[in-house]
Amino acid sequence: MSVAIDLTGKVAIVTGAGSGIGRATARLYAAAGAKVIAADRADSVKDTPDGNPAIIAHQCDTANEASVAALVERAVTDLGGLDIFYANAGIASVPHSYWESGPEDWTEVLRINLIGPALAIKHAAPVMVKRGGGAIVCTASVAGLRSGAGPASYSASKAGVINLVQTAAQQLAGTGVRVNAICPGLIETGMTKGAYDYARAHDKMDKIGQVNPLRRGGQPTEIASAALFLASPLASYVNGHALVVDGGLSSSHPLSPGELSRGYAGPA
Amino acid sequence: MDLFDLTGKVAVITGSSRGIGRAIAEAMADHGAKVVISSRNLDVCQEVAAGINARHGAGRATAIAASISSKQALEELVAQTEAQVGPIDIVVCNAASNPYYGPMSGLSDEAFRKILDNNVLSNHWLIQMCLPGMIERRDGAVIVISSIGGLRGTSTLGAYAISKAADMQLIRNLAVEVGQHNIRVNAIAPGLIRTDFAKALWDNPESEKRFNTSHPMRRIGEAEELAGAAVFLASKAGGYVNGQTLVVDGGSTI
Repeated sequence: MSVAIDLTGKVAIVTGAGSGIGRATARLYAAAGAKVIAADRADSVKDTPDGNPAIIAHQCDTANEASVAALVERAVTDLGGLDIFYANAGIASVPHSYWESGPEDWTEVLRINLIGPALAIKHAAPVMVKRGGGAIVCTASVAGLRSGAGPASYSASKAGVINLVQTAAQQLAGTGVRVNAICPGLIETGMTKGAYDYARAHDKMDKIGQVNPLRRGGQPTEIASAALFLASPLASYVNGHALVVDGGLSSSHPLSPGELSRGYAGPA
Repeated sequence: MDLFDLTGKVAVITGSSRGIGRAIAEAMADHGAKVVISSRNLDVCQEVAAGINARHGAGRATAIAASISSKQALEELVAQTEAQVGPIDIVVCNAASNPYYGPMSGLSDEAFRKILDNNVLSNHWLIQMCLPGMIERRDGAVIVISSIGGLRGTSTLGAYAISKAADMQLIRNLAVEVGQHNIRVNAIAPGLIRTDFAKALWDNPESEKRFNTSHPMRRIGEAEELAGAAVFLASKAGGYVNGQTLVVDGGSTI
């Protein structure tokens, strides 16, 4: 006997669902039995349902308060409630050094990456509290844990998300609503397409996971499965946690292969 | 495809005759694994195994007694598992001891050594014994049960908290070392869970009430609520999670 995770009867919203991690998660939630609203500001969200009637595509700005309120309202009106909100929408910032960046470099990345999830919690939580519980998951990043994985504005926005889920979990004490984050490492998505395209074009795919303990980058489905875990009863006592899914990158001091980092090669 | 499926996997769980270990063993069996129930006392292991076999059919659970403080006993545990059940795919180092509760100033050398031996060195032994087979098959999941005691300073948990912090470093080292062989090594850090092990901390309505008042979920956790994290880390669902400590404390440490 095997126990698949069953989200039958649950209603979920996934933002940033027009591609990558969000699209994979919307499809996984639906495969687990949930009714899903896949939200994204990009046109591509129309392709996310891929013929599955359990997924409704919803185009909107996921960091605009009126849009987020309307998104939650749609779940309540059209699907009868809201049990799971995966606030995943995010953008990368233009690479810049700390002292070259101006307020304009910060505003949009903070708006989408940090204020978006904050609005999601603000509007989703009251609906969930009334139902006696729910699960909110936000996409942070290993860039929010320490430096070296993105520009300052992006990294700070993701560090903000990690604290956001802690503070929200605390403020939602005793309501049955759990709030957690996922910190993806290098995952093959639209956001990292540049790095992957470059590696492929220059026959350097082996460099992608060179300093990662698992020796590879991750796939969107591997974040989606973490988002499914956190949304499910399997995680019923996991709250305010930032679950890192990075193949082990952030648990190490990455070194390029050499004597010091060669490690155990296995049986001869 | 069920990402959380463990069908056909062989899982060894130490300290699995009760509490968190037992909950993990039962959940892994529910998800399809063949589990080895192990603790010092064979009788109680057999009881737990019989319960699982009654639910899932003969051969799904095997009782093998072992004291984690004996290297030889752990070698026997691995050899017996391989002989009776098959190559080990999943190892959960859950058994631990805490013979001392109080400030560092009152901690004896003997108690300190015993705690480090049982809670860190024994984990290292058992993992070391399981890794060569996992490396050969390029597949494996190692889980160490740590504790949120290892995440913060404490005036009462003494060497136990130190040993649990060491477990978090143990899994990080191993994750870096054997990740290249498609083996993932992670920890789970439980908060206060209703088990016999932590009974002193909750077995009094006043202290439980005091704990609940300041806890984000207003309650202590149940052993079954740890099991989901172990299934996640052991299965394909956790396929890119490596070197991490998954905190399962309802928000105690946020």
